[in-house]
Amino acid sequence: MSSESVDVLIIGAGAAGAAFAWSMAETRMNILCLEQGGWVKTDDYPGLRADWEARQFGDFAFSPNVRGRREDYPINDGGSPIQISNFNAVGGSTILYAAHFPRFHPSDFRVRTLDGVGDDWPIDYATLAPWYDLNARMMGVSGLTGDPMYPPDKRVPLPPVPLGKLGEMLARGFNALGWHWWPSDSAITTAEYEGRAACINAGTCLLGCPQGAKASSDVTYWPLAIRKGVRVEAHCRVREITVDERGMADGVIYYDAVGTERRQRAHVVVVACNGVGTPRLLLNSRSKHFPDGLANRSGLVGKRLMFHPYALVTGIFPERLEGYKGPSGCCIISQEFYETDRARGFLRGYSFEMLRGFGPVSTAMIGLSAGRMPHGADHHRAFDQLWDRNAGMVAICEDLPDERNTVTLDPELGDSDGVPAPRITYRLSENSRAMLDHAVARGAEVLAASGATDTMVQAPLPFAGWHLMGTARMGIDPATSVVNEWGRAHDVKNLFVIDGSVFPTSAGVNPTNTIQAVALHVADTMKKNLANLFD
Amino acid sequence: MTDIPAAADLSADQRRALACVLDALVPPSPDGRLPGAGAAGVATHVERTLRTLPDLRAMVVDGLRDLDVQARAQHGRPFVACGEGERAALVAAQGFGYALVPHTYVGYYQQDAVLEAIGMEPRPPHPKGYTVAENDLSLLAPVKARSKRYREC
Ligand SMILES: Cc1cc2nc3c(=O)[nH]c(=O)nc-3n(C[C@H](O)[C@H](O)[C@H](O)COP(=O)(O)OP(=O)(O)OC[C@H]3O[C@@H](n4cnc5c(N)ncnc54)[C@H](O)[C@@H]3O)c2cc1C
Ligand code: SF4
Repeated sequence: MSSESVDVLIIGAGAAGAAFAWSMAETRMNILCLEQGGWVKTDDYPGLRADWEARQFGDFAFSPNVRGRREDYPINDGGSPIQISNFNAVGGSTILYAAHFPRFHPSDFRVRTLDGVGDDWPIDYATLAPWYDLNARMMGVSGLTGDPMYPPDKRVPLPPVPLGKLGEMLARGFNALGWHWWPSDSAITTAEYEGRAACINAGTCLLGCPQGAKASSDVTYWPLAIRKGVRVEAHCRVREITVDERGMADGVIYYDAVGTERRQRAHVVVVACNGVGTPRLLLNSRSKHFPDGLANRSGLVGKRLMFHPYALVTGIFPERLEGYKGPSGCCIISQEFYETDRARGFLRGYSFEMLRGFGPVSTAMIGLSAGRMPHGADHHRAFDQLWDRNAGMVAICEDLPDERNTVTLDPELGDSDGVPAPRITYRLSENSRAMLDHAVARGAEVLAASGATDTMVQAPLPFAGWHLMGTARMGIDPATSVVNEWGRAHDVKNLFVIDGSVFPTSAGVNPTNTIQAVALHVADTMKKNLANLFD
Repeated sequence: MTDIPAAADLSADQRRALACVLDALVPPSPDGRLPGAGAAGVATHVERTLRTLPDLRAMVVDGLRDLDVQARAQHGRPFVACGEGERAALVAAQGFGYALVPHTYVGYYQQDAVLEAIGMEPRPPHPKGYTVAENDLSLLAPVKARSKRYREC
């Protein structure tokens, strides 16, 4: 492999890399994807074993620092109240994601114009609408048309996930307050779909889905892309992207499964390592042309890191809810507080998403961290008060871009191949704090209206750094953005970025549907411009 | 999960004492429906966890030794031969048990006997899954009755 040059080299086989590879495959070019993780086999998933919940504290933890697998890279996130969650494998973080799959709103692409903060995107909702539709079919999305929060032409191919007793109780609570709610768009097959089995409501989604019903990209795009000729090389960690004498990308240096250094040449390099992995790789790719990191003449690579600060409000109900049955992160969404209302004391807004109840281990551990799960004689009474009587609800707050929130290279920490690791510097803005406070109060209100007698609160939720955006933003002006409106680096015309790094703003919903829609949009634009791709 | 070397195993006596400590942390329920954590076999899980946490393991080994010394001093018998109340008081006074609480809970709530007692089937969620009732989408009527809520732009 080391001598042959490929036409397109994709780095990272997660949500974005997979969608992009599948779309580009029809060009019949020589396409290779290098991925530092491996394939997750059905049998590896915790949900098939009695100790399934315990593995969230071990080899299936959200934090790479806890998992510590060889393919993970450590992340110094001690400088942030929100810690990074990810997964490194073919399928990327979609192996663990909850598959909550909303779209952005039209207003999310016009933030500066509408609300005077953040930035406008160089593309709009109409640009992405066909790619959202295509992505819904490719991932197998379930939901219901007619949501008054979205343009009416939004369509998904499968009926919504079951609300269950818990979801219907909350729906009644929202109705009692006259607030918006809707069954969640979920990248989960609620019926057999394109060779994938139907969801069986086992509720282990956040530890992976052995049923293949949850749309992780290893069971959706990748098999199709590979059938069309794309190659994926697993356990290959890219150390740096190299440039030629003219400053054009000419390939990568990577470490293979046994840690041997290798070279891969390429005509086009596409980075899909997520909002932390992508700036890390670009910053690790220094050369005489790019002493501050590849494609970083704007100085913005690694800056403007956005999460979605989360509030978790858990309601405690007098009756049993059967909450452990059903997809763990998908039930109903409320966007009552989504669009800006200045009277609320903050700009932009948030979505509420109902989770299910927690399994027994998680119930005990959440109770413990809330000081409600004593050991000794009183333990069983305390457990009984929480067990299957709790319903979690998260608020996903829009984060505003701020250049002080960064991914940089840690001067000491490195991965198992010695590649410098990322360091996160992040502080919660006053706007986010005000939004979290609002969400906690409104969350408690709707839970009470649904019959909850008590609530537990975590805001910001410390381990919720799973939506990673903004660190190589797109824009028209090379002085204020890293890539253009179709993902091409302003400084390196054969280098593309296609993951959440390119988002100018974060919106107040989960990002993966939009990440993949952007990746499909970039691929489509590249295909239309193949003859003059580097002009 | 990763294979762990057997070298770090506790002795049979230490294991018995550990089970008594776990029973003090999660005792049997007063109505007898739920077993104590020691009786439920949680020591196996805790011991496996300790193999990956050498500092905690050292603390537990020292703590078990100290419990025995205290038991003999206060009650004239080894810790494992003390009554339930005596053992609970000794564990509370010694303190190292606190560090075992999260591991005990994680191990306890995976046990078949415990799952059955709290109303769950004693099996992993996959591959059988669960049945959930059909949606009552008539609940959406008031939401549908409201006009469009997104901003046109
Ligand atoms: C617990 C959890 C729950 C989530 N829930 C949701 C949800 O409900 N809805 C939603 O929209 N989003 C959710 N997310 C986020 C979602 O998973 C991500 O938005 C999405 O996977 C991002 O796609 P990506 O392709 O940009 O990056 P990833 O999917 O993270 O893929 C990046 C890939 O690049 C690889 N890589 C990185 N660096 C290198 C390198 N140097 N060399 C080789 N390979 C490299 C990584 O190994 C990884 O596989 C969740 C995430 C987590 C962790
Ligand atoms: S609930 Fe459905 S999607 Fe989630 S893990 Fe189980 S089968 Fe998969």
